Amino acid sequence: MSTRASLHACGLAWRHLTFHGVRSGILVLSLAISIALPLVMQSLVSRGEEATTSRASVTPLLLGAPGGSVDLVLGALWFLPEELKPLPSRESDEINSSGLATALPLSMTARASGYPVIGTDVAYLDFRGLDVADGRQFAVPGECVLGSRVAGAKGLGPGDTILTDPEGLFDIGGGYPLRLRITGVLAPRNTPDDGAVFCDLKTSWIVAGYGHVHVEVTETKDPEAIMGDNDGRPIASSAVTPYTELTPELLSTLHFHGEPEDLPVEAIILVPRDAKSRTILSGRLGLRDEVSVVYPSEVVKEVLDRVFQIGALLAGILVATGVATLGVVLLVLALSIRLRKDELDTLRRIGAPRSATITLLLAEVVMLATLACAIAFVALLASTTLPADLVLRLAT
Amino acid sequence: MPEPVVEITQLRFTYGGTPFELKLNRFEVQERERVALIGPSGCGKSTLLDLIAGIREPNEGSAKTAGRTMSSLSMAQRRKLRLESIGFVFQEFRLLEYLTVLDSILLPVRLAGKSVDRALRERIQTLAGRAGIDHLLKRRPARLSQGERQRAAICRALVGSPSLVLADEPTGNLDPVTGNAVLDLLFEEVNEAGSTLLMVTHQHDILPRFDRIVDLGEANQSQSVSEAKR
Repeated sequence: MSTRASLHACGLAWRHLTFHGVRSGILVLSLAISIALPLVMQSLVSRGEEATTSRASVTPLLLGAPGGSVDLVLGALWFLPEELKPLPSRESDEINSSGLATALPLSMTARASGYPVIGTDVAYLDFRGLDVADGRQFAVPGECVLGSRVAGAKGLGPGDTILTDPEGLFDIGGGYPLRLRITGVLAPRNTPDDGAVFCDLKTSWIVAGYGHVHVEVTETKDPEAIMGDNDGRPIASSAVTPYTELTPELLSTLHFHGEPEDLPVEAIILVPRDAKSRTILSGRLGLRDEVSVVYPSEVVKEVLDRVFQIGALLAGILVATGVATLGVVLLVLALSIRLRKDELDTLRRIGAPRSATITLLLAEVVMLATLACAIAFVALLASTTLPADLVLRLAT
Repeated sequence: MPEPVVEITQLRFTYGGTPFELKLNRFEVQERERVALIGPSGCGKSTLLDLIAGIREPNEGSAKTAGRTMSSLSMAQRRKLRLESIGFVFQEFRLLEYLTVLDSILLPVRLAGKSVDRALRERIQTLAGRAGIDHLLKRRPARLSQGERQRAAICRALVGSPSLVLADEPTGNLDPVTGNAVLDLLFEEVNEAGSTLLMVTHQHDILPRFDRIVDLGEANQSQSVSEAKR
């Protein structure tokens, strides 16, 4: 068969495919899904693994109260709402004093608009390479900076405020929500930091109810604020704001119940000065029962090993599904050839070379497969461009 | 005397496992002759066309078409002969549903690997114009009437100027008026191209149009071609 005749047979195949556009589309999509699913899954798992291990590998040591090391790592590195036992902030001060490492305390119990509020030191922002893209870092209690995703989702920026979530809707004895003044927005890093609100430790302790300022209802300028008097005690109306704000005037009244070094943090990131300091520190801390020191990279490796066992099983299932889909597609193609018996017979009677008929049928399969592979490739490419943090959030 | 376009000698054909048997001692069709093939259903008229075109092979005897003995040709050579020297017109039109009228007419040319030059385009335009379908060249078969479809099929059969046109009840699916118009077209085009026409038909009212009528039912029984009229 001449090249021209072969090209014409390919042209016939293309016309047949486009004439039966819906059928062809369904076949292409089915094939594309069966090809793309295992590949995209594998790619996402790899990227998830990469994102997970990279964050863990840059966090040398983690100190927490005795308990689950996995919970500690998930809470301190990804700000997942784990129930972590607290340890006194004194631990952080002592490590800093020892000169062996920089301690970065993390208080993670509060939330604002559903996002975790992380009480820490400004050194944490430097440690994670978090630059302020707009505004400045937090400086005094009551101020905060927003991760880029929080700022984008809530449409907030420097000069705006964000209210912390009430501890419990029906807990009238609980702490008042705190209105935080936003001083800056962090540059996006595609890490869990993008989805958090950062403030100093004191602010997070105030939110948790360990410290407060005094607001005298009787000093309010709003005449509607006082409903009456009960033996010299004013009765506040609903006009009184149901939240606290640490204004510069009120900061002088800020005080904590207890010593600040006894107040809780949930985790402390330790950045040893050098390898020797790291060994000494982990040795010293490892001897104490009241604290737990973990290597995040090792914990993550253990977790991933288990996840990948499940991942391998899932990949097997996906491959089996892909093979089954491929079988169905081949069956559809075979049935399609049977349905085209008259057309093929016409071509035979007209005198079409056998090679032209074979080219026609093969070209259709090749075109379907090529289109499916192209779609699968685009899906795979798209999956590799997803930010690692988004991959992890999708997974969780 | 020129060599016959179709020459069948001592032919016997059976479908395996069935009682059907086609026997012909001798059957010839001369160049430019218009022959009607008649006979009762199942007597082997369509089978004879297949044997002449080399689509089927006889059990015994030989079929010689356009000077070539079919049994001596390979399958590929027989296909090539059909593509280049034989035009087929079917009762059920057999146009490919996904091709436009123009592409349907061009199909044999393209399958033969020939280029579509200006001369060929002009020929198709003329052919389609005479068939009254030149305004329908971009339509697909689903948007054509039965008569228009058969006209397109006739154009497809004649586009390569074949030496032999085999028509298997081309008006069988058409009403009498449309059928006559299609026959007019077929005869005109066969005359124009100088082709030989062998047509299977059940319509006795059209037989006077032919040079010769062959009753295959009688021929098959008596093993000799019965010529009803010359």
